Amino acid sequence: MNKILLPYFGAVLLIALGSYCYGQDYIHKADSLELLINNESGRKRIELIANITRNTNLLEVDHKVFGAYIQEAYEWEKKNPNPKLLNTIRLGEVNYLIADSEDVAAVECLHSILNSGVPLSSKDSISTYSFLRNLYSSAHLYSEAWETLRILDQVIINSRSNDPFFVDSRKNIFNDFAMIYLQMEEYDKAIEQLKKLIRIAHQENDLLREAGAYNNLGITFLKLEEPDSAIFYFYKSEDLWGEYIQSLTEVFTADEAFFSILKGNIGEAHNQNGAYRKAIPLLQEYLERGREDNNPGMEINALHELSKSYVGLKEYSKAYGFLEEAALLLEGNSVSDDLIGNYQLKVDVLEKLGRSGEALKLFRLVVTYQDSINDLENRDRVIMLEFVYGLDKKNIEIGQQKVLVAEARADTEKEKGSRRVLIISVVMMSVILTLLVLYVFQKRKRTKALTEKSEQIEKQNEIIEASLVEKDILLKEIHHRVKNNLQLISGILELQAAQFDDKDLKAVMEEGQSRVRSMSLIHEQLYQSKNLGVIDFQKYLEKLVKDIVVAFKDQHGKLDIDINVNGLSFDVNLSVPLGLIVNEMITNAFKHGFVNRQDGKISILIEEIGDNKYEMLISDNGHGLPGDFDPEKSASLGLRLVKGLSRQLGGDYSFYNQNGANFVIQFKTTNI
Amino acid sequence: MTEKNQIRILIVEDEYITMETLTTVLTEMNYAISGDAMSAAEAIEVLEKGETDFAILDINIKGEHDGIWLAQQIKEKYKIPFIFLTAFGDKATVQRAIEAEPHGYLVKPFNKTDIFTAIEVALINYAKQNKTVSKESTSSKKDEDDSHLIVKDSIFIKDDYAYVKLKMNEILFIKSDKNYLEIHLENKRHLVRGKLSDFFENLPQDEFIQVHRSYIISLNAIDSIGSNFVKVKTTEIPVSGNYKDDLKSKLRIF
Repeated sequence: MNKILLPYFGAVLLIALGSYCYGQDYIHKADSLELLINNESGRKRIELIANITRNTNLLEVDHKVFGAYIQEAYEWEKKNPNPKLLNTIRLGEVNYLIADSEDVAAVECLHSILNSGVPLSSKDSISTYSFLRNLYSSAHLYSEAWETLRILDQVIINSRSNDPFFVDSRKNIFNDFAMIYLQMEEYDKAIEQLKKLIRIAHQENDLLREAGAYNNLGITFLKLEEPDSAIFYFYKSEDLWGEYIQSLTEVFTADEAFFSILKGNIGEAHNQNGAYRKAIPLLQEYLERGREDNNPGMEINALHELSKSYVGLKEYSKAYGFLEEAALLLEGNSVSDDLIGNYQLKVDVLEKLGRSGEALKLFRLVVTYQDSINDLENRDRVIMLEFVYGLDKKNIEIGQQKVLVAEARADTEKEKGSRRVLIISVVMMSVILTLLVLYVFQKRKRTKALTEKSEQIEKQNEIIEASLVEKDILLKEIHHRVKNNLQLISGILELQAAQFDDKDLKAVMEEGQSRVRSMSLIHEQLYQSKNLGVIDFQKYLEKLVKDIVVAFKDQHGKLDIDINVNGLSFDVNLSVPLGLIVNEMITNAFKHGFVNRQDGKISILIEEIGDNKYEMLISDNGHGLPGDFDPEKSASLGLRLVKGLSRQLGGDYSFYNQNGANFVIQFKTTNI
Repeated sequence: MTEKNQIRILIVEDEYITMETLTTVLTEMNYAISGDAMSAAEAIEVLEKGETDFAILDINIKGEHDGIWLAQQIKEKYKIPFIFLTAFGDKATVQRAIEAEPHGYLVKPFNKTDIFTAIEVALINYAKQNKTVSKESTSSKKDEDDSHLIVKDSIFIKDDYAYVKLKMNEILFIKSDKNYLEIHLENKRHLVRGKLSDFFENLPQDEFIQVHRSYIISLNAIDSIGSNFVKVKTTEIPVSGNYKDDLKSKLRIF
């Protein structure tokens, strides 16, 4: 049960790995950053502010310094509107807000980026989703975090760039997945992801990430309460970090600090192992580092862990001293996990010291705070979800007011708490204990179900993607084969025609051949084109007509053929009959329109004349149609085909003579 | 031109070339085409005229309704045999098609023999189905070949290699000759396999009457009645003792 109530110790490592997440391009120290900024002016200065605030790990510097700069950037942008820059400034603010623990405001800011309608660069969207992912998971909004991480994964995979930022992001994804698994207490899966990262980082000689991943692996084993394995991995991380530091040209305190963080982690592992004496010097070093860096979070962690060591050594008053020291650091802050953890530890120590009265009082407080912190967290979660699902601002403000109310309530409870009677506390205690057990149980169940679901979806997506690619390949293959078979038929007709001397019979065979050819061209174009669904009709008709010209080349020397389909494309269902119609018409024109003439002109024009309605005009400047021309009575298969196929296309056809023969065919595209 | 006893087939198919092929093949087989429809709406128009004996339905046709919908309409309203025609033999389509209870199934691409067989099977299925529905109790086990293809008011019989239909009201009398039945029309005679008693079951009972072990006559065709015969046109048909009373009561000549 302690595990749940204790502050999330893994945060230590999120910082460590987080620092490279947003790039190492900038130096860690706040003053040197300020110097950089102050060397510039105008637009360049604003861009620098935006980039520095978004890229720097503000947790490692005194982030408050940057508040004014961000404000300045916003004001400058207001006067010189630039939506792209605005989003970069916002990303800087997000980073600042996160450093300031203003998670809800950060989420709001990120959503205003996503809703800005300005297309984000890959880099910006990776930053945006990374931030969101971190915020969601620290708010325990696992399914949202998952979803965001999945989007992030896609963005990163799709960015095939070799830019180090993307290369690194691709690796970071493993760590991101691992961190979510860790939070969801799916340790096996976290380990799997981290081992993948280690393998890749090792191959690429990426010492930073390899060291980070080993540290995270150690923390995972700490969670699993396997301290021996944890220590093994922490030391591995330490070795690699040493190599990493040596490879650097310039070493900053933040880099050195990681050694202390590792020491703290190893110390915790020793505590778990009961090797308290081994733990203490390590934790002391960790504590020192926290003090030097003015990092209260680190100090509190160290003090709490140290108190555990001394509890283990049964030196209770010493242990209590550390807790008091931590309490001083926590003073003035609102109710937090750290505060509750502190009280929790105190309850244990006070009991051991025989101060049961005080212990029970404190326990009562722990329970109250736990409640109110749950309330607060829930409010935060609700507000964040409201952003996710785009509820209006009013609701959000109300939500924020509720948070204030909850905080106020927590404060009054604090005063009342001490006056409560012992018996009530005992009763409450047992009730709350049961509830807590249930809560833990429920939470585990829920997170497990969630991961299973997400994994299922992930798997399904992979399968779908693979099968889509496969589908495309198979379709191309099929069109290829259909084309080949149709050409085969055409070839057989050719051979059959060659067996006869009868001119009429030969002509019939040739007609058959050209009809088959008109269809095979469609399939040829389909497997050659990128889009397997539609036929570029201009291209298709040009090829089709070229074939007919070749077939009649002996009879007509110079026939100009003009094709204009106004860039239209049609699907196969429409293209086949339409192609056959054109084939018949052009063949007819060649056969009858220009008898005893060497030159002439044929034009094919297709236009859209309405909603899914089209008109095709085929005209020539030949002899024109005979006066008694009546396709209804015509025995010609060609004209019957034209008539029947026009009907199939939901259309009509008509004809008239004007400078030659003109056929008009109207047709529709249907949505089946 | 549609001859009187040609079976009239409706083709529903939205691909012109397939429709044209079917039309050509069926016409060659001496079937008549009652209509060619490219959509369910056009098909209904043809069916409404009541001049269709048989339907060939493409399942995938464009428009609001498909061939399966059309099949349901035919089953409920027009009650004629029909077969499905489709290029897709996939499971889902076949399953849906089965639910529509077609009398047959023709898969593209097809040849002449396929069409012929599909129609024959469909007619037999249709006849059987109607028999089991109406006369389940009386029909004893029979030789399969002896099922008579009765569709509404007509009987379909094989003439050369295609079926023709005989309208019930054109039949004058039927004579049994061993395993064969002679169906006599005004100026034609058809020979079919079968037993007189089975055949009689399928005839409208108020229009036909058995007058002899070997004869069934149409009541409307009687021209004169003798003491132990009836005359239909120029043919005298014997009336045997045990059928006489029945005849008399039917003719109300007591």
